Amino acid sequence: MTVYVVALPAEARPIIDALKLKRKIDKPWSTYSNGDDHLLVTGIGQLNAAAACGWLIGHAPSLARLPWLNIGIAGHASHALGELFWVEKLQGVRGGYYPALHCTNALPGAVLKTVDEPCSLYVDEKLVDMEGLAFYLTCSRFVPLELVHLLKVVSDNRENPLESFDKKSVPGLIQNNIDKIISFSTALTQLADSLPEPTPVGLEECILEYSSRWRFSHSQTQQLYKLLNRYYALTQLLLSPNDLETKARDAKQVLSMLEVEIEKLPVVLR
Amino acid sequence: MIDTIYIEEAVQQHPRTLKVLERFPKARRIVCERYGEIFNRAQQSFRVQKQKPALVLAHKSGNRVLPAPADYGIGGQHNFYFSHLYNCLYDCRYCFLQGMYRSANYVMFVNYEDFFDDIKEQQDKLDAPGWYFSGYDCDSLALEPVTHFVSEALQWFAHQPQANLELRTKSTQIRSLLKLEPLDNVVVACSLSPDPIARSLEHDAPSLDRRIAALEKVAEAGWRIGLRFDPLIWCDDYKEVYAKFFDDVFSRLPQASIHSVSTGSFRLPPEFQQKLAKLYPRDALLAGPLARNDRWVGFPVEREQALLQFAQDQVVGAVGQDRFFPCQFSAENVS
Repeated sequence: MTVYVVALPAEARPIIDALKLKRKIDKPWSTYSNGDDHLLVTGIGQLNAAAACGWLIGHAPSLARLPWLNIGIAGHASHALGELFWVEKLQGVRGGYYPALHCTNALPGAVLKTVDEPCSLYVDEKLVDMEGLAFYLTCSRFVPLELVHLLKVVSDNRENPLESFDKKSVPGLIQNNIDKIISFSTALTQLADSLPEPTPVGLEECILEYSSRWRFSHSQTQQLYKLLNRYYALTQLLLSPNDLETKARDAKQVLSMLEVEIEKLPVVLR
Repeated sequence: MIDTIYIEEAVQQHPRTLKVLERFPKARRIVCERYGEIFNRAQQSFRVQKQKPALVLAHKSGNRVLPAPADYGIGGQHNFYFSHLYNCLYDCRYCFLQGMYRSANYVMFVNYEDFFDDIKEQQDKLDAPGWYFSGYDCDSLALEPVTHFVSEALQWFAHQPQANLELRTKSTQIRSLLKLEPLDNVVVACSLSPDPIARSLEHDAPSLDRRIAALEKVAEAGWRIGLRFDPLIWCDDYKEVYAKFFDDVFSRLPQASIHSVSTGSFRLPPEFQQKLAKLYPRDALLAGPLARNDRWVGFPVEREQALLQFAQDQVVGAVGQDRFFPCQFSAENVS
């Protein structure tokens, strides 16, 4: 389960085919999904990448628990065409950013520099793309750093410069690496299993049930949320208002009663 | 064990860096400017990183030897702590490091000589022997095969009779100790919990039985040992659980080798406790009843006091009052 982010429809095609994704949304950005995996086509450039990622995560906040993987083509001075790299460092204006790798990954690493205009100077030994930095900085606001990564396929180099680049070769460059890409995504998905457990199913409805009977302030709702979560952690049960032993006068008393219920629970750490 | 190693530019050619890299020839190597670029970033998940922490090799500049917290000590007048390493191999649910650090990566500071110089400088200012605690921000021995810090530190402390060293650990990596002659100014202190509690909360740490066995060997080799029953963990049948535990520990370890025994209740600064509760929302220890004052979150005061008193009675009964050093951090004045 991964959110793939690409700039070009041509980069998307091999991923759509491999994962049997269906088109879900056309505008403002195209998205595809098979229920588990998702794909976002951002368009070229940092502004598009940042805006599209921010839009998708606002549209579907639960995706913040999945790995986000930027797949795309990039130039490099000397690496061979078609070679796939994991980005180990992104060059920023004020220093570098290091994607946090905490799963097994045999792909070679490389430094990525993101530029605003197509570039065919090939002066230093860095991958060069037009979206990576914006993708990383935007996604790492919402998604745990360990789940935000970039894989880049070399599309042009000093020997085969941008001027002679054939856009039709893009799907093939991605397609030739699709197994490695999916394998990396699988490792990240396993890593995502160790995220803190999500809110228990039914908790939101349970809170609504409480709110329909008593008037909770915002901070009292937060306390209610914490207490119900704690009760769930200790019992694997959601405590509904009907389960409280006596009728509460107000929200404050409900919270006190929940505290008491938690204190009554046996403490057995085994 | 280590797949990724970040190396600060400044220590790339340090002999200890080269030795660590030699030990992990297949690890990915990434050069960074400062370890903080890796360690201190926002939006890191300690829990996710714990699945496969990276190693960061760095230089520690300044603040290498710090005063120990008040009430932290084993009879000495002057107490300090130092950390050649940040983070721990083990995954103990009560550990404050999860609340203190943003990252679960191991940071190993390779400039050991600077630590030793600072300890010397500190000791020279004192009018009495000082105690220097290792193992506050890490486990002193768990990563010894990688760091070789203890091995080097012991050779240095052998020539510093006024400076006492405590190595605090849950590890069974005792080879470096057994290779050397025991030192009078070193205490090998092991944190111990009853087996059911260790199984429940001290993930990836050696079992109680293995820890005691390691202590037995260390004691047999002539080292002074310390027993650290900290944190004590409340459970409904604590008397039964801890009575059996103390009986087991004190019956297996030679009395004469025990330098000191300390106890402490489970306690966390409130902001750390909140962070841990978010990291582990289903954890029974963190979800159970806890009390808070302006400094600490811990067990409700009656439970805490009952547990501490019970432990104190058992320990004093076994080793006497002279070698018992309780750490009292009560969460009374509950708000």
